[in-house]
Amino acid sequence: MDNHILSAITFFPLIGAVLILLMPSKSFKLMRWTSVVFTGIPLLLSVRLYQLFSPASTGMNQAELYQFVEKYPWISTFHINYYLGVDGLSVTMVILSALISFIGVFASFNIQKAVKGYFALYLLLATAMTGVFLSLDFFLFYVFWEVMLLPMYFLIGIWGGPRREYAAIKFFLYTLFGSVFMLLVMLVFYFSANTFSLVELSSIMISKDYPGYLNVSVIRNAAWILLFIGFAIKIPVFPFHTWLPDAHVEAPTAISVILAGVLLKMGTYGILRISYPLLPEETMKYAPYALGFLGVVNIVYGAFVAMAQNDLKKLIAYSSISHMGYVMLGMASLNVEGMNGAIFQMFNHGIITSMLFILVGVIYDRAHHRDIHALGGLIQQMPRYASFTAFAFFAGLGLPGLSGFISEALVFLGAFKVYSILTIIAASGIILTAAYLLWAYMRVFFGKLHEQHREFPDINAIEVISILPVAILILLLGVYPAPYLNVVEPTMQKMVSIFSDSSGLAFNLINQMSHYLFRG
Amino acid sequence: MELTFIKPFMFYFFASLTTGSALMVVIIRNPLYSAAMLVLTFFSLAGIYVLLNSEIIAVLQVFVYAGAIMVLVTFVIMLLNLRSGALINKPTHIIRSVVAVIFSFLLFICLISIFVSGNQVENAPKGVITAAAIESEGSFQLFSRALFSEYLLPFELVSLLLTVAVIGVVVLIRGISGAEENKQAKKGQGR
Amino acid sequence: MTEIMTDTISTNLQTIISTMRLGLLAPHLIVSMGGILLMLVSLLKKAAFKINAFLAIVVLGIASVCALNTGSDPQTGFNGMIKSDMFSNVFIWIYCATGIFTVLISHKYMERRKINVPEYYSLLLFAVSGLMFMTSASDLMILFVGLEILSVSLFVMAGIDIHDLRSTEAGLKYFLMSVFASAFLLFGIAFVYGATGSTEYSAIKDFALSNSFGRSPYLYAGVLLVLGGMAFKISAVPFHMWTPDVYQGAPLPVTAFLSTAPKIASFGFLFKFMAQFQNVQPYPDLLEDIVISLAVLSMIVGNLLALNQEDLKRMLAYSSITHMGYVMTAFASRSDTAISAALFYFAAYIFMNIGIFAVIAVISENNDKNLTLENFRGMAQKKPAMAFLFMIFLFSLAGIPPLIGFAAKFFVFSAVIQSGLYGLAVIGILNSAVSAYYYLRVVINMYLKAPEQDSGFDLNAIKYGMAEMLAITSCIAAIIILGLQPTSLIHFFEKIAL
Repeated sequence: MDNHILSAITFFPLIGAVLILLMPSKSFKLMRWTSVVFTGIPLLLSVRLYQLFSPASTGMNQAELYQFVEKYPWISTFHINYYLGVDGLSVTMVILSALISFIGVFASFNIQKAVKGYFALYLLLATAMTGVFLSLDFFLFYVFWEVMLLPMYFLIGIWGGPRREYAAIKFFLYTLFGSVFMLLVMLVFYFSANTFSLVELSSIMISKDYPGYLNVSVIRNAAWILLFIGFAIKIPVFPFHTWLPDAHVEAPTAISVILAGVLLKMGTYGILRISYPLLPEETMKYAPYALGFLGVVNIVYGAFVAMAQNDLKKLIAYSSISHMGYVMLGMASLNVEGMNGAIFQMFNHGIITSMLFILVGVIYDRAHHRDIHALGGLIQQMPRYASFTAFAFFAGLGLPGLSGFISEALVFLGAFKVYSILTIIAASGIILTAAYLLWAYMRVFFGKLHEQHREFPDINAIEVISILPVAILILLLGVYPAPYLNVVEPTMQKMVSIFSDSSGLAFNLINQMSHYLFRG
Repeated sequence: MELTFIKPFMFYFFASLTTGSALMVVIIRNPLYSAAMLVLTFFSLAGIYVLLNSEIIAVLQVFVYAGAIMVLVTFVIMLLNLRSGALINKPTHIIRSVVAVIFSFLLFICLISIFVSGNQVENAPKGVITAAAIESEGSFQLFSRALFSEYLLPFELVSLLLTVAVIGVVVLIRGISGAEENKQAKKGQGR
Repeated sequence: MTEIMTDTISTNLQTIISTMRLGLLAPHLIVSMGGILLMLVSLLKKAAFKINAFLAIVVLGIASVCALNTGSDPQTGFNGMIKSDMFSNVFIWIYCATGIFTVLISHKYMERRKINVPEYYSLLLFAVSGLMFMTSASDLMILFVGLEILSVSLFVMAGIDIHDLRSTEAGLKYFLMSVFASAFLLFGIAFVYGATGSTEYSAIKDFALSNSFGRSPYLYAGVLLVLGGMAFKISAVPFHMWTPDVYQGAPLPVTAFLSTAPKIASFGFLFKFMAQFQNVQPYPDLLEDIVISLAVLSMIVGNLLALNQEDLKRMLAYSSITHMGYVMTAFASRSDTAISAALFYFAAYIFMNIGIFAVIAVISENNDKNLTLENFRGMAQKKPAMAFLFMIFLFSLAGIPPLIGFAAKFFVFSAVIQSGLYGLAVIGILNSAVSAYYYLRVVINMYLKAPEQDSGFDLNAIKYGMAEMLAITSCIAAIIILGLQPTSLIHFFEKIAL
């Protein structure tokens, strides 16, 4: 099993999907528990993967430094391989995606419409997500990336809210356009270097011995920008973000959880896995602007817009945009602290936001709306729910002792070395986040309890099961982050080492302005 | 042979007659007149073939096109009882006409430029069948020999084509008569 | 002088008879003889339609087996008028497969619509033989006659539903278009003949190589006109006007055939014919530009017109224009990889297009109306299996992995990028993304919208026939299997050179 553990993690949900398709369409219970089993096994396997993983596997451009590698020829004409493997970057993402898929199943227990189709698509989505994180072949990566689109489209489009068609097609078209750019870059890489293997490509590109078309610097620059647009749509970065609130508001709870918990991470993961090692020079050139500046825009813009929301789910959707900004800022710093923080933030945001969305789902199931102003005083009626929510909100605003604090702190530490002004602006995001979260908490839980909310039951066992593991994880990593950072750090160190002369890195525009402002 | 110097004049005469009458076919509104113009086109084409020493083609042209096919065409026109003006449609849209004029003018320019720039007709390869060969063997023999040897396959394929055309006509006509029978049967039921 | 001439002619005669080699034409002859046989069977009144369907499949099956027999080495026959090689064999298989699929989806549809004319199948066989001659030809003369056999059969087939005015209109439109295209083509052939003194490809090639292409305006004009004539058949923009009307009006199985085989044959001819000029130095810029602009226009205009179509058949008509635009990009890149990519695209296109028209045929058998996108509302609830199959075809057409449509587009755009035509590849890939929108509209209607109460369109009345099911399932199987594992097929195509 250990030899094929990656394939097992990836394809177990798919087996579950096939089994569910074969079940009679009325046996809801059986389907639910099948889904639990077939997402649970990958979760256990990924824990095992974590145990077996040695942090020395730093991957990147050295094929021998990937663990659990599986490599079989697939389309030999184009040298396309079925090529899976993990390094410090992907191992945590695999755990994240397995975990979120697992808890998402519990959040889906209240689905009543076409249950069979729902769980089949859900499990297919789980397979595709894991596949994206494990692929070391560009083509395979792309295929998983695209395959992920379809179940997501249907899950939003069929099981979503009132404006689901609009949200679903918007999500689909945005992402498809993004991936089309990726396809283009992929082909250019293939026809220059004659391989789709990300490992080989990065070793070629890091050696700066550019083959074929890539010898032309314009093409390399264009490739970086196109790749960035492709991934930026997924993250989503400021001008490309408009699909996200729509998708979140319309999607059912579990799908919001998956969307915020895993899908958004694919954007940043893609940049780290592909743009960074394949185009290091261009990364140096564009990171301050595309990742640093836009990251800060994301933080501040997302926070301000979140503040203006009445819909609880939309608020959390915009807070996601804001939080992904920290990840981008950390990545832009190109030093170990910042990168560590970015990756840790990816994980933390994944688990914290999932918890937030599940909690919003809990209230939506009872009140059938999410209007902050129409709620109030729930702390009397649902004390346990209120405490869980308080915990999640505090995690979201980065309270020390919870995991979000550590990652944000690391991001600021790393980023401040390089972009001092930007970081100061970004830090104001923390205050804004605290403001909108506490504000929302106050409105929902304090004040007068509405008459029609009197008979709301408190949070039930299934709901607790779905958030408890996450909550424990948030607390544990908040107190003792070493198990996570130890795994990630060597890989990040290696990644940073390719940007050897990062001293020249700076966000010039702001720095120069500050020069004028503060030094006369 | 002695008439060599006349040949260019004859060619231009027939060529302009062909073009002019073909144009008239399109312009004239009365279908019968335009059919007559088509006959004239075929005849002047036959004249060009004669100038090219291929009498047999000229004769076939006159027999088949000007004779058989045109008789059929006029017959159909008479049967349909189309009077002049019966086919006049609404005036075509001005933009369409403008576009049509522009494109045909462009095509005209292209063709003219070919004639102006390409004086290579002299160097162009000529067929194996020269005027001398025709003189000695006769146009008809040469034509037949080529048709049944070198061009046997296209010849047979044309016969297949004609078969297909006949079948097609039969299918369509029978369909029409079948449809009418159906209608009458329905009427009978209605009563 | 004269004696020498006569001598050469008589020796010609002998060599011609010795080089006839009927064996090369086995599939062609079997299919056309089959057509005549079916015509005789049509005399049996009652059962003829059924027997003919069966016989047509048998004939096409035998013909495709016979294509195996001719072997992979290029052989010429009939005085250089026919060239049989692996390239033409692949096309023969493609035609036979298309023919068989068409028969499978025709039978029930034609019976329901009361247009079960037994000669229909005989016309179909003649059309297939015309297609075969088009690709096996190595002489413009054969090409032209093959094309005419095809066109005559097709416009009768398109207009065969004589009760339906739209079908008659489709037949007439296709007829007029064919005549127009033939005029272009003939004009072009005449120019080519005038310039080179021959209609045979190899002679044209020799001429083009020895007298640089660009310096012979007659050849230039001739080739451009031939290209124009073929653009009509392929329905490349701006020669596409006829497509939506004909697609909409013709009986659906005929549309399925019409939208695939003739276009593929036209491309087959173009690949074969233009390969003659491959080594001409310098390659004429104008020609390249024209092909590229045909490709770009077809992709963009086809897509834009499809975006807002409410009628499903018209939408598919425009989308087929776009698909042919993609193939045109491969054609523009003039490399061996491009040829194998195009062959793969053809195979994929057949499975997708025939399959989707088969589904539509099943749906519209009982509904004598134009199919609008609205009619598909809530189909997933009423006919889940059918909706699912339909969705797979749509996704494959949209080019979403891991279905065959994606593999096909991937190969084509790879070839385009390899040839250094980045701009063309970018336009193609963007168009491919845009096209997802209108395919998705159908999926949205099927899956995300509630069924309409009385649209006058009864989805519940749909019933499959065995034959239709066979066609649909085999297309689906091919789409998924070849989508996941395209290696062997593309390998096979890569070995084919012109």
